[in-house]
Amino acid sequence: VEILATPIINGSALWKIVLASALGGVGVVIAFGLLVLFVTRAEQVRSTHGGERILYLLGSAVCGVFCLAVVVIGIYAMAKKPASAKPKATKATAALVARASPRG
Amino acid sequence: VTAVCFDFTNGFHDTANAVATSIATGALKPRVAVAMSAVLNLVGAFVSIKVAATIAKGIVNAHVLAGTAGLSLVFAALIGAITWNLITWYFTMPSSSSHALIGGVIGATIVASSASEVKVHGLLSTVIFPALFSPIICGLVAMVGTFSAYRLIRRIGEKQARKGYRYGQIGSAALVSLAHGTNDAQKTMGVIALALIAHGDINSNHFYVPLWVKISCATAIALGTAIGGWRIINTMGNRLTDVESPQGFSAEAASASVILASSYYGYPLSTTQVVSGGVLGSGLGKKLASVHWGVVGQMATAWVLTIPAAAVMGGVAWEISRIFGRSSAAGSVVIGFLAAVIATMIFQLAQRNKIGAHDLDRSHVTPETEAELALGGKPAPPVGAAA
Repeated sequence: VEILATPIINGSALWKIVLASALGGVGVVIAFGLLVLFVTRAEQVRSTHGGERILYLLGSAVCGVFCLAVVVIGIYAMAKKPASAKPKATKATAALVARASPRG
Repeated sequence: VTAVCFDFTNGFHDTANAVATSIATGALKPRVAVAMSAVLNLVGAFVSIKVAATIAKGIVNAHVLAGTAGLSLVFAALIGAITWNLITWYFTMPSSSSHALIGGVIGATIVASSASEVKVHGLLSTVIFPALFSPIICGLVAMVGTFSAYRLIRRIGEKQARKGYRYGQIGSAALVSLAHGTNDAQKTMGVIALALIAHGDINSNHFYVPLWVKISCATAIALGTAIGGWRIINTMGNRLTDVESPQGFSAEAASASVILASSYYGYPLSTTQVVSGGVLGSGLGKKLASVHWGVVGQMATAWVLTIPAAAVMGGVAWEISRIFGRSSAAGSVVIGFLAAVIATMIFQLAQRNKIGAHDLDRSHVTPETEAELALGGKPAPPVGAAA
């Protein structure tokens, strides 16, 4: 009855997990690869094409910022979980306290 | 104390999660990787208590764990979990410490009370379902990531790309370590909080994790990590698939993303299963990569068996403890002693086919040699491949 009464899967949370994982996992790999690509190209054109080099360096900076941003967001998400506040009291926990804690 | 011991076994059992692929590709020396992971696990353990709150609530009915009988039950559960962790460590199988813990709680609860005291809904929604979806999501993300990385490598050039991804692996391994600390140390904090609630030291209406619990758990998991579970690192890094630096980076990035996202929403998932899914996905994402399905099958079997096996062990531990009385400390002492004997035996057995840090050191593999291997060379056979 309990299983039927409430959903087992939080579809909304699952969707967000999939989205965040894809963005973080695939996004960072691509951005990091592009960063390496742009840095490599910037090295290759160092002495010949000054303008092109600046473009490559700009591209690599954007990719680097993206990777860094994902890491910072990840750490921020760890530290600031919205539900990490103290959980609400329920009948079950109240019963536990009543049985377990003579100190009240 | 037993909960902290469990955290210690969790540390050395699950170190593999964060650093296995970095060690396998030679991006980090084994001892450096494990030391880095230990420090970040320590830091991660202080970051949030969301998962701790989830574990302490929702798996079994709270009244079962009330009073000193409840404490004995938690103790039996931990003994079951530690024993299963050591058995899987001996067989070099990266199983989930979290599921072992949950299995132990369930088994002891069923034997002590009845199966109806287990919250099926809570078990399905916070344990079984995340256990099913998390490795699949991580595997898919890692597969797409790896595929993309190798597409980019064609444009970048083999040596430069591999060099870049090796540097990237240091960062991604650090993030997985941090995420592991936020996830796994908190589970034991949850168990200790459970015991403190049962003892009446914490009012469950005002649930919190005391600072000394956080410090104890963080230190235990860091110490366990520092000692390093080389046997499981070998399985994760070398035996599932032949990992190259772009694959390792993709697997770690995917793992960190899934762990952090799931942890944010309070799903107490298994970091072991997530990272295993990531490593497997990275193997599938590379064209012509070899995935060792036999090892994958063994690992999947260990995953399926973990909750029932730990439940049986938790139940047996509780039965032995109950001989001395439901609330007796003597029972807990006896099962603690038996667990120590079993642990010693397993450690002795493991000495026969010992795997150490020096066996796994691949720091001599440079980006150049990795590129050569990728272009037609043959990789060195993994340690213990025949085991």
